Amino acid sequence: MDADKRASFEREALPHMDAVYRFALRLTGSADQAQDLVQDTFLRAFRSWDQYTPGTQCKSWLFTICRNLYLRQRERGQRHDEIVDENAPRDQGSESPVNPLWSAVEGTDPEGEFFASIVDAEVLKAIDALPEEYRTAVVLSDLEGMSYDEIAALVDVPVGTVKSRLFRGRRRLQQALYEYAVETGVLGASPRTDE
Amino acid sequence: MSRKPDMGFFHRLKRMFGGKASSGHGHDHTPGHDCGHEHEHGSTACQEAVSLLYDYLDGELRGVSEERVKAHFELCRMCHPHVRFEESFRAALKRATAGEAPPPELKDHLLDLLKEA
Repeated sequence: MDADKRASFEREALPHMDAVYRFALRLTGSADQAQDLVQDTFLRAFRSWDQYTPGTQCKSWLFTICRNLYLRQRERGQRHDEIVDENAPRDQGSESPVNPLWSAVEGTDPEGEFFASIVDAEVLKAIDALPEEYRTAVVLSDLEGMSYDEIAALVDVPVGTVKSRLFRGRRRLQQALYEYAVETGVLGASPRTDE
Repeated sequence: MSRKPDMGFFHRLKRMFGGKASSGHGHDHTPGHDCGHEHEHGSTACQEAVSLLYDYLDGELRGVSEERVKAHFELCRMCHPHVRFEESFRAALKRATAGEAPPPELKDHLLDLLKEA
């Protein structure tokens, strides 16, 4: 029995280890903590393997466990995230469907080619600086390719909240990367020259 | 997953526009551009398309005609760069995280832990 359980777990759950690790890395922001979180996630998943419905999204199930463990750790004070007030009134400027950054780059780099010039470490830093709610939504959608429904089920919020988090998270991230590009001269007054 | 739009499509589109949309510089931003649609920048069609930009790129249009939104982004020289801007942003996120993999010993360690569990 135990051998069967282990075999099916290793067959269905273990192939998602790399994905869970990537997610854990974005949640914790540290390779050491991510490894610990992956181990905790798979141990917890193994113990709860009877509750997993075969044929359903195993990756989403593992991600849910991973995030819940992370949030519990965060409650214990191992990491402090910015608390976002999602009920805050919508700011007309920053919440406009027209991205304010578009007008900022319209004359020099309307297609956002500057994003390609930003070093990976800075991109990662900007992702990790997002509040957890936004970061999780952006990571699950833009990096893991999950649908709004999948993210809503995983995070246990309505689809409308997922969309709002994606909107705000992406805007914040773009703003941070834009500011970095301006500060470092990737985007500036002088016309860009292609390498 | 195949829900993201075909990136190559926009490169083909650029060629259709004689390379004007590909330089990243000096776009024709005057109203009444020759995109084949009877609208100006800021028109209802552009506003609607822009408000659906994320849904479109996320493959989540749900009930809105994808063909219609796609056609607008394909043909409107004002809105087209916005699609490219978002794609460039997403590509940067993917690139920055592409090389991230767990250390090779993690799997073995995990298998040992499971044996003890």
